Amino acid sequence: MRRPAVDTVRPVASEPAPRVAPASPAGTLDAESRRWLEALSGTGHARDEAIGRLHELLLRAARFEVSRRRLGLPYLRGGDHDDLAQQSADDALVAVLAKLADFRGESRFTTWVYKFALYEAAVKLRRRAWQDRELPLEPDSWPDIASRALSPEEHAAESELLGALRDAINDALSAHQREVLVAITLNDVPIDVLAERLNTTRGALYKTLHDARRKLRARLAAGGLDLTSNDAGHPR
Amino acid sequence: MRQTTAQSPTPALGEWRRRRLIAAGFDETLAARLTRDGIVDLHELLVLLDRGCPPELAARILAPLDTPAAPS
Amino acid sequence: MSDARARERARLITALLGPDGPELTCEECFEQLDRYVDLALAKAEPDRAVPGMREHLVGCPACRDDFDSLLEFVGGGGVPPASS
Repeated sequence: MRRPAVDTVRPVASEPAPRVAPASPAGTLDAESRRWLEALSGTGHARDEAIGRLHELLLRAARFEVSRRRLGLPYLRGGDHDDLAQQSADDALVAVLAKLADFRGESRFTTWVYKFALYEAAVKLRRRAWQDRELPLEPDSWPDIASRALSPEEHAAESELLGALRDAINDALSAHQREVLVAITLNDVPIDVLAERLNTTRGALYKTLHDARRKLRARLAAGGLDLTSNDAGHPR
Repeated sequence: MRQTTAQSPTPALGEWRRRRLIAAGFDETLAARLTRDGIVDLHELLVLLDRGCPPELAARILAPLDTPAAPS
Repeated sequence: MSDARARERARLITALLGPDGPELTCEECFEQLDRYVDLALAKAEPDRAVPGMREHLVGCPACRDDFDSLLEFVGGGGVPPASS
C-alpha cells in the first residue's frame, strides 16, 4: 500500500504563526458530508460502494485538472491524459482514506476530497512537463521592464531598484538560496518539479525561498529603498 | 502532500542529481553514492554546504544510520 | 508608467520579495485550502478565518495554482469540461 500523501514540513519559524479561526464545532457537518463519512467509515458492501463513488468524484476532478493543463502538454496523447487522471485519482483515494479521521467539517466533504485529486494531478502534470528539460538555475537575463514609455525619473527609479535587487541576489544570498529563488521566481520552475529533482519537499524549498526573500528585503531596506508599492497578485 | 519516499531515481534523474552535487563541490565517487538510492535529500545537503559544512561531513550527517560510511 | 508596466513591475518585485506579513507554510496552506475556498465562494470572509493564506498564495506560485484550480472546479459545480 502506498504511503499517504503527507508532507512533513517544518513551519516557517521566523514569523509568528497566524492564528487560524477555530474549527467548526463538532456535530455541525452538513448532511451530505455526514452521509459520506458514515458510508466510508462503515463496512462491507456499503463501504465498497461509497469508495467507488468517491473514486468517481476524484476522477472527475483529476480529469478537470488534466484538461485545464492540456495546452502545456501538447505531446501527450489522449490515452496518456486519461492514464494520468486515473493515476491521480488512485493516489488521491489512498490519501483521502488515510486522512478520513482528519476531516473536521470545516468545508464540504466534496471540496475536501477534490483538493487531493487536483493536487495529485497538478503535481504529476507539472513533473511530466519538465521531465526532459534542464532546470534553469541561473537567470538567463533579467526581465526587461524598463520602457521608453517611462519618464526619465521613472526610468532612473526602475533602474535603481532592479540594480539593487540584482546586487542583493548576487551578494546577500547563499549559493543555494540564490538558485532556489532564481529557479522558482525568475525562471518559473514549479516548486514541486525542483523538489523532485532535489529529492526533497515543497515545504522545505519554500522555507529556503522565504529565507532568501527575507534577506533581500533586509538588504533593500538597509539601502533605503521603498518597497511599499510591490503589492500584486491578490488570490481573487 | 506527498512524503518523500525512497525510490531509486530514473537514470536521467540520477545523473542530474550526480552532476548537481559535483557542481556543488562533492567528488564524483561521493556524489554517485549519495544519488544512487534516492534516499538522501539533496536540498538538505546543499543547505549544509551553504552553512560552511564540508561535503563529506554533510554526507555523513544526512546519510541514514544503517548506511555504511564511505571509505575515507 | 503605463498600467501594464506597473503590473509587470509589481509582479516581478512580489515574486522576488514575497508577500508582506506572516504567511502560512505550504503544508498549512494545503490543510486549509478547502475551507478557504468554500468560504470564498460563500463570500464569508475567508481571510479573517484563515489569516496568512492570502499572503502565502501571493508568495507561492504552486499553491496559488492549486487554489485557482480548486476555486474554479468547485465554483463551477465540480464538473469537468465536456472534452475531457
